[in-house]
Amino acid sequence: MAVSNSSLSSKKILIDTDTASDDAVALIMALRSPNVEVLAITVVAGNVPVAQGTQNALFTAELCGSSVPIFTGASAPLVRPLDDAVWFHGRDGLGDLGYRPASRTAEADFAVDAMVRVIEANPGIEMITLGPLTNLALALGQCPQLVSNVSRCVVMGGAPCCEGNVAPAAEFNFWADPEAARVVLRSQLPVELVGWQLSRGAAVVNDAEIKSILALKTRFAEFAIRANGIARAAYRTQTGEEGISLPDPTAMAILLDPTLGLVSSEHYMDVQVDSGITRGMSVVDRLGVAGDPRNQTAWADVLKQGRKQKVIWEMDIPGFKKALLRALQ
Amino acid sequence: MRRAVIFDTDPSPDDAVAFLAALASPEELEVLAITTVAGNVPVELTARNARKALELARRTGISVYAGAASPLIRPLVTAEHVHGRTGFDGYELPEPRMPLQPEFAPGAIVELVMSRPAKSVTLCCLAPLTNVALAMAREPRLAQHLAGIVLMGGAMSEGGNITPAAEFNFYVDPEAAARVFSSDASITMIPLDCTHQALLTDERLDTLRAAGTPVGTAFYHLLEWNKRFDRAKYGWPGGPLHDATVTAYLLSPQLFAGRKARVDIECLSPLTLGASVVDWWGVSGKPANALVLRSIDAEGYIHLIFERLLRL
Repeated sequence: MAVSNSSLSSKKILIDTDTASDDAVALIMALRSPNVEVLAITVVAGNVPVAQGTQNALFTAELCGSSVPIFTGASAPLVRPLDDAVWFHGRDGLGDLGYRPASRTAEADFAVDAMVRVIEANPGIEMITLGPLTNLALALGQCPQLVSNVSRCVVMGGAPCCEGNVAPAAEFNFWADPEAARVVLRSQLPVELVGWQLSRGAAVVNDAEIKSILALKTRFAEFAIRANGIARAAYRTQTGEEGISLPDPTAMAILLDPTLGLVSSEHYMDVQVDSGITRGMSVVDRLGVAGDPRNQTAWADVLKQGRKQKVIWEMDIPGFKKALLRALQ
Repeated sequence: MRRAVIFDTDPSPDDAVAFLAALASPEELEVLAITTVAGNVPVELTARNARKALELARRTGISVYAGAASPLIRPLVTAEHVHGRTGFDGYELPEPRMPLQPEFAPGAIVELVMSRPAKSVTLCCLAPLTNVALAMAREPRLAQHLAGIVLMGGAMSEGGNITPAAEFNFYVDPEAAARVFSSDASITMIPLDCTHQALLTDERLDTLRAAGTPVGTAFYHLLEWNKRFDRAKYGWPGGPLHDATVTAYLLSPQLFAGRKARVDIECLSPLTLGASVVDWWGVSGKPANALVLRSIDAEGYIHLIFERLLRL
């Protein structure tokens, strides 16, 4: 079991991740956060193949001195082959600098079984997904009643009402496994969607902020910046923006401190699962027209099975940066 | 050579005939387990029906596992209109007393297959392919480790039985079928084109009643009940016995004919959801991924299966 200096009032969380450079920073934020008990880290194929993601999660936990159990999960999306993002994060997902766990190894159980077990044993647990939603979709299939035990499910994914990153219409996590994203968004889980757009613009860690992070001179700060080296260059190529964009840490910051989500609203949502130009597109019924008669055919299942999910539109950016700096101290 | 098999099934009577005929053939087949899934009826009922059939045949040593309660990404569609509310309407069988194993069926499939030598276990799939897709999600090496998959599902030129375009098993979980057909497994597909050629006429069914055994009597009534639906729907002199074709193929492949072809499953269009698109003439340029059986020796098939079933 996880060893932490937990108190009775500590927040119990489960993290599902396709651990690459920005995931690793998010893991540090959770593992080094007081009053947070990370009960399990489950790894899924996404940014990198699942075996590599597991190694990266183990390395990051080791760096934090955490003995949180880490489980390997799905090695491919629900239906499709894996199309990873090593072009963005480096071949090993951590900037190709040779970060490798010294001694820790993954638990034997399949991550989905572990996820089911941990959620069943911890009513009220909060969870966060940082990768494609394959593991969570598999867990919901295995044990549909899980939803009633989860008090918050923060999902880093989608590009609600804006452009995507890996495709013009889609963010990577939803694009990589759109079927799994659909399962989650059509479930009764209390989702809080942290889309890719929240980590852009002013939320990008700029050159001055990178300097002040490095000035902390901790192993966490150094790792966070160096592991994101390839991602930093790839982000510049992709968006023209300078600095390090950290989608997973923005989601983690909001999980750890819900007040950082400044503007949000609740809507029915769905994900496009075709393979054409809108594959993986997160579609938000922002104007509430899904129930109109003309939309019956397309939206009936969403309205019947799903619920309105929270979409976070604006984040407290200075608050996020403070939380980041605190975690890397 | 004795072949190890696992039946993945959503028991209505034709499923039960399939695995009981296998259990009655110990010289050819070793049944490692029966895994159940939601399909014809919800998974609680399929897990119960499997055990009812095993107890009827006094084969209570076989492990039965329950698996997925719903398809990978869609709500469950069932077939009570064909098989009745319980999936086993038409003959009252006692509530089963043999236990259901605690493990999740896809995990059990992985364990049973991976703990044995490569290419030694054949999966016999009689239902929506959810459990198989979930097992492949748990263990990426599963498909290659299997000797093969023999499945009842799909339709090529026959048209569908649940929608104009789709056969029931593929329609219920098209994404699972797509995943299985895109795996490395060696697949033999027995579509409606085959099963609709072998009907349970009154004369054929009567051999079950005439046997006078508990198994014969029970399945006479169960299949007779089923047949009413098919008679009304198709205007045929009897209903098909879909799933037992899988067992017949394992016992006697010369009863069937077909060829290797590319098969892809439609997952998007509402009109043709779950349709199995068979590239019979090789016009796609894609490599074949299944042996598709299109014809069957009906007389030989029914004779073989009933002869085995009545050994119990």
